[in-house]
Amino acid sequence: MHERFDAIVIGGGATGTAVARDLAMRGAEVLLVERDDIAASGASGKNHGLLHSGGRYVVKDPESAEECARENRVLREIARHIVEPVGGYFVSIPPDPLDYADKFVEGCKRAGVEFHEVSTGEVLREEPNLNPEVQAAFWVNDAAIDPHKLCLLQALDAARCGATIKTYAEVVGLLFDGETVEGVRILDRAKGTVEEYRAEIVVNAAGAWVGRIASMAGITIPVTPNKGTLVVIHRRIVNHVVNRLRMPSDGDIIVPHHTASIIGTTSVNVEDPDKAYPTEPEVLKMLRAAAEIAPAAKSARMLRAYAAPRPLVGGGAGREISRTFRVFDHELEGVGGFVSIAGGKMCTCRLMAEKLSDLVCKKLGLRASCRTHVEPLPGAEREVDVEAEAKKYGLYNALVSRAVSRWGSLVSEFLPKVVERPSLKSVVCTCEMVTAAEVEYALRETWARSIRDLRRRCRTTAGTCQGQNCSYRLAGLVYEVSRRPLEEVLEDLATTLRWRWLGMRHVLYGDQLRQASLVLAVYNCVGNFDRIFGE
Amino acid sequence: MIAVKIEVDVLVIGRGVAGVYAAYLLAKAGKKVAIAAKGCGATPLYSGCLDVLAYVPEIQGAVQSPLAGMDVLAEVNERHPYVVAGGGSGEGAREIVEKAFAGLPEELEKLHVGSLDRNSLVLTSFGTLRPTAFVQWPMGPAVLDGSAKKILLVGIEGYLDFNPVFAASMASREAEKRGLGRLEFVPRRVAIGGAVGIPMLTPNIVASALEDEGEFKKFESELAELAKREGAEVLLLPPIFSTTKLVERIRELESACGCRVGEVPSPPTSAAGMRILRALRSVCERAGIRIYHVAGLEPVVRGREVEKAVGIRRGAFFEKAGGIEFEFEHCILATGDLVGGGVVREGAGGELREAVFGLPLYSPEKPIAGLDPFDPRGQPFSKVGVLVDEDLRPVDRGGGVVYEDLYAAGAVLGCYDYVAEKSGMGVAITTAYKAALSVLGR
Repeated sequence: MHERFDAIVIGGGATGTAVARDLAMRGAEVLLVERDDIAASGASGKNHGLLHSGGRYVVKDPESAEECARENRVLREIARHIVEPVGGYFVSIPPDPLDYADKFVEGCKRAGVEFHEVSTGEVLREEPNLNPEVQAAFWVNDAAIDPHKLCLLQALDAARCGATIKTYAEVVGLLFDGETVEGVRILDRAKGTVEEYRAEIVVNAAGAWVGRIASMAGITIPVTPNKGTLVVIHRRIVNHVVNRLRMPSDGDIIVPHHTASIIGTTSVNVEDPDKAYPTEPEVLKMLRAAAEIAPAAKSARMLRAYAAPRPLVGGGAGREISRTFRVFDHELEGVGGFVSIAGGKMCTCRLMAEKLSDLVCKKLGLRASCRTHVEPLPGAEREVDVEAEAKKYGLYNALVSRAVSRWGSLVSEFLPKVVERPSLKSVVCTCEMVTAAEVEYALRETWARSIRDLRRRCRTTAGTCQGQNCSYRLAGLVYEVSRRPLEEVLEDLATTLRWRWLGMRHVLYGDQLRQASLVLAVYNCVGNFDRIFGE
Repeated sequence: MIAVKIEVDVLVIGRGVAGVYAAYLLAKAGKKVAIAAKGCGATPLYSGCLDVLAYVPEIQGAVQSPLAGMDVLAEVNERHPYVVAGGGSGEGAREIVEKAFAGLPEELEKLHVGSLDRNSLVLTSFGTLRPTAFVQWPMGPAVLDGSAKKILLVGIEGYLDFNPVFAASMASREAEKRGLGRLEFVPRRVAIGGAVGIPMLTPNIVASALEDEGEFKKFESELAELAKREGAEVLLLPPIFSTTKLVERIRELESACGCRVGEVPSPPTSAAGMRILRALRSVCERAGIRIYHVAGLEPVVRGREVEKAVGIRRGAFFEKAGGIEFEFEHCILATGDLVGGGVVREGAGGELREAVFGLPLYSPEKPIAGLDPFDPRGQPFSKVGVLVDEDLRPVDRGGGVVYEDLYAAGAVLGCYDYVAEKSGMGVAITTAYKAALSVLGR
């Protein structure tokens, strides 16, 4: 690895990976460092998975609405394989004020958000689970997007353009030459070593941790970590994204996503972004709010709850802070070689990166212009003929189509391997239909080190059984394929199941309570793991 | 609409080990018995380890002998089903457990090897070691005492539920930690013709591939070659011997390999669950007990007696055909726990409920789940279940009998945690025996 780069990007979330991709495409030598896995700890991975049409912000936050509308169109092209164009509705359900509809229409027109009004009869035909008291509805261009994959593909693309990606590398200090930042000191959490890397410019894209990194240079950035809690429902209870037609509030969106529906969210400022956990009252509030939109939510099976800190710029109560972003050139404060970016939304990460990269390139003296909006992300280059691939490799159509929904044309990197090694056809995760071939590819080619990293790439452990049936199979694969020490794999297995448990803990009723009982039966009763991990 | 009326002395609800054993004892004593069941419940998920008592979570202790452990149990948990069935003392608990095991029908008795006096360590498909009183006999070779030093772990290509490489490393670690000394676990894999490249490879698919004589012979010679080359004393496979025919051929494999051959217990799906279901079916057939499958059961009660119960049948044909009305003198509730469906919790923030009669439950503290799934003290919700008097009649919170003619047995009982204790099947057998005695007035 080089010791010296043009730019070092701190943070492997949506923004950091987008910046690394943009700069690498423009010809810069880039190093990206992430303290955990790509999109692991912050809001980039733990969100609704909603590719906003912009409709949500047209009244309250028009600038953000406009950005969303523009980027929505871009991502549908460059990331088409991980975007499901489900469409969205804004629905007015009593007691939502009807006059909001007029403001909504005006706002959409002003921000360039595509929309049209639909009759209540039509929306109920399209969404049979919707509250029949619906009093007004608008169609918008919302879509579902896989947030982890967006970040991963941006990192993969950056790597294809020559960037170096280092995950599990935590920045523990900045290196200075006088008043100028000239590099980072990182703790390689895999090896346990401290390493130093230097660059012309250090880009701070640490999300909710952006303030913490800036403080290493004695700089204060007014970022408020703001917690959003979300609840996952088994299967899809809606066909489109359904938003409440009112000022943004708690629990007013349901997003159909892969095999689930996601309800959210809350907006609460928190002190420590590392401690943004869901609470039981928040979960019950989400469920009640979802039942107002779709009464079927009451009897639906809940899979889990999760929360993450958003990096909002500025102060005030959570909902009052704008969702737009800001670029900070710290040279203006007397610290050279150091820029930060904060705020914004996952949907606008490419645009944020473009603005930031313009600044960085100017400082680096690079003239190339941004191409991230025209170049497809890895896997979006071509359509995959699911039936033909299934036939070719002797796999069920369902297995191939689910793999394609996760990887697009990148499936050609792993499906052909089953020809020589038919045992790679084995299904590791039956909830999400993931083959051993896919898991092996993720481990070998996409910086996945652990069972938890695999979830972000393959959706293993994310389904109905919450890791009951696949976690130990994955432990075996990680052990054999990655040749990691047994103790590390055991620690990974324990942590995986503990996190899944904490997610399920607040939704233990109906079949999910039976599932939790079965998890105990499998791991503790049969496996005796309570006497291995618990003592 | 009622289509069929069934008049019996005793209606047993549930067809797991507790239900079938109670029904068998009563039929043997001359009673007319019927079983109503909603499905197979949790029985097919059986790992093959017949636990009696290995840990007492209240004192964080392991017990070497299940029988001797009853004394400790009586001291720390007077409402434990063993203690209740034993009349409140450790000695009583020991006695009833011994009698209950002595009365087992031969199908269940012959399926298992082990002892009530000693817990043995059995190697699981995870490579972990767990204590248990008995295992199904095909799993006998997986019981390790340190005498066999070289153990061959043979996986099946494409069968992910048993990873011999991971299991071998895990097993070495665990054997040393648990005082078995340095044992050598050698991981290998074999490919089985009809099972290669099947995306969802289950024990049944492996078993049916081995029904082919040529495939079996190939499998046998590969195992024999491995065993001889490695000088293995024990050869362990995943639990794949799910058919009667295949189980009988384990002995053939042993003579070909020149060492003991067996299976490791595993989570579902596993051959052990299929074997026990087959054994239970045989018990019912032999004792002339009919199992009625129902989609639900609506009890009719009068005062402190259960008068009858109506079995609901679903589906177009059955709806026209009507329900089944059961009339009986006594009823035994053996519907299982949360997994089996005997206890349910409907709706967010809802209460836990006994599924058939809405009986009062032993309710755990809230929140019902702890922060750590691996807490060796168990989870609060695992102890949910019916509380009973010493005749195993469900009681309310004040200790009063709810229905004079209703008894409960097995996992539907509360105040014990079969996961943390490793006591599930032992409680099922003992309480089924006690419930049958109570019905017979003994």
